[in-house]
Parts: sequence; C-alpha cells; structure tokens
Amino acid sequence: MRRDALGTVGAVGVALLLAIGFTPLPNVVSYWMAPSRELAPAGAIVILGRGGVNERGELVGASLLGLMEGIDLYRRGLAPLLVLSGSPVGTRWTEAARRADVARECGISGQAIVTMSSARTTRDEALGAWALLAPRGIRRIILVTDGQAMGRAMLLFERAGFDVIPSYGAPVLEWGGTPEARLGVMRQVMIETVARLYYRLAGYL
Amino acid sequence: MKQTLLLLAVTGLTSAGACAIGVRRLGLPGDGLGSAIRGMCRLAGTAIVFLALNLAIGLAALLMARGLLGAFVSVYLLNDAFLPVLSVLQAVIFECWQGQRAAR
Repeated sequence: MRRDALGTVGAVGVALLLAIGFTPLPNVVSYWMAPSRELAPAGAIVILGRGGVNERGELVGASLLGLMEGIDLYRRGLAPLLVLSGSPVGTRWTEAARRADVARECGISGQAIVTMSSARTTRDEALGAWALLAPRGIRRIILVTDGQAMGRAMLLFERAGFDVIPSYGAPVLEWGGTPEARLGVMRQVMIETVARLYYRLAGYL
Repeated sequence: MKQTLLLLAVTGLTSAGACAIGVRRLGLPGDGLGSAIRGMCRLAGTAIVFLALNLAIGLAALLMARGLLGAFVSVYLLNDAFLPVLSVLQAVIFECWQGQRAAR
C-alpha cells in the first residue's frame, strides 16, 4: 500500500514535470499570477532587489535586467525618480550602489537616483520605500520586479500606502519558450507560491 | 517548438532502441515494461518525498537560525537546482537498498 502511494505520487510528479516542460502550463500559470494595470505616469520608479552582486562586484543578470527596465521607463518620461533597491548580503559591494553606478554611466542624473541598501526582504523594501518617498509626497509608483513576484510585491507596497502600477502594465501571455525556460518559470512560480503562503501566515499580507 | 520536438524525437528514438536491445539482445520480457514504468514512478515518488523533506527541514532550520541568531538568513539559500538532483540520488540509493532486501 505504501509503495502504491509512492507510485501514485511519482506518476503525478512525472506527469506534471512533462506538462511543465512540453506544454504552455507554466506560461499560463505565470500569466494568471501577474497583476494587470495600465501603465501611467507616477512619482517614482521603484526597482526591487534581484539577485545582487557577484564576487567581482558586477550586477548579476537579473539585477541588471531590472535596472535596464527601470531606466527604460525613466527615459520614456513615466517618472522623474529612480529608487534603486538591493540587499547588502554577500559581497562588499551593495546591489543598490552598483545599480546607481550603472544608472549614472547610462546618463541618468545623480539627482534622479535614490538608493535603498538596508532592505533584505520585499516587505522591508515596501516599508523602506514608503519612508523614503512619503516625505516627498510621492504616492503613486511604478514597481519593477519579476512577473511572478509582482502580485505579492504589489500587495505589500499597497499595504505600505502606495498606489502601485506594475512595470509591464498588462501582462502578455507568451506561448513559446524552451522546456528548460518553462521549468525555470515554474520554479519561480513555486517559490513565489511558498513565499505568499509564508507572508500570509506571518500576517504580512 | 523546434527544440521541444527535437528533445521528444531524440528521447523517443533512444527509448525505442533500448526496447529493441532489451527484448532481442538481453532477452528481457516485453510484458515487463509496465512493471518497469511502475518502478520508475515509485522511484520518482520517493525522490519527491525526499525533496519535500529536504525543503521542509531546510526551511525550518533557516527560520530557526533567524530566530536564534537574530541575524537575517535568506531562505533563497535553498533555491539551488542541485537540491532536486541530490534528492533523486537519495531516492535511487533508498530504492536500491529496498531492492536488495526483496532480492534476498
């Protein structure tokens, strides 16, 4: 009986793995999780920490992508201020400071950049951003983070007091991708599901 | 799409080749294939249980460390592609161990 139960668990797991790799299931779940709102001008663009800095002091790929997305929104005139977040964990360089360096190298004025280096969780980032932006009278922000993490991040920032617009506006359902890419998307979906559960249990959401 | 089809075609071809070699060269019974698939499902189930245990114990340890040390410990430390690989290895060893007992 016990081995039958293991066989059933395994069969479901294998079926799910094949569905993830060879069908658009992860794309649909990810699309379903992503909040939607029309992109509009705001007081600031808040770019959440993503992956940090490697041992050579370079931004990791995800962190750089988030920064570039924020710079693109800034150049489109959607907000006059970039808030660059990042965790100090790991190396002697902070993600936020390195992001600020790169933003300046991309021609963004130092006056348009604010860094936030002490936040270690999304909740800390929401509270930290509120402490930075509320005194400037900024309530509406454009939030830049991974599609899967956007729902939880938006709820946290709204709970802190912000009016939040996701950086992508309305999500786009993409049917393509390689099996490995779909597995990566599903991995992020699962991580985000656990994170949401934890945040609910801890009373943060 | 092309990559998906290529992966399915390649694994389909090697599976068909393995079936042919198994039956013709190694003399394996063709009707034993269903039992082998059920064995694979059991192995996958054992790996899933190991993975769930590894994640649950790892998460509990990290959260406990946060409480005891009073320092921030990121739960993303568990976010490593090698954890499922190690869980599969644990499952293979455990199933082989059980198989030895059944063979005696």
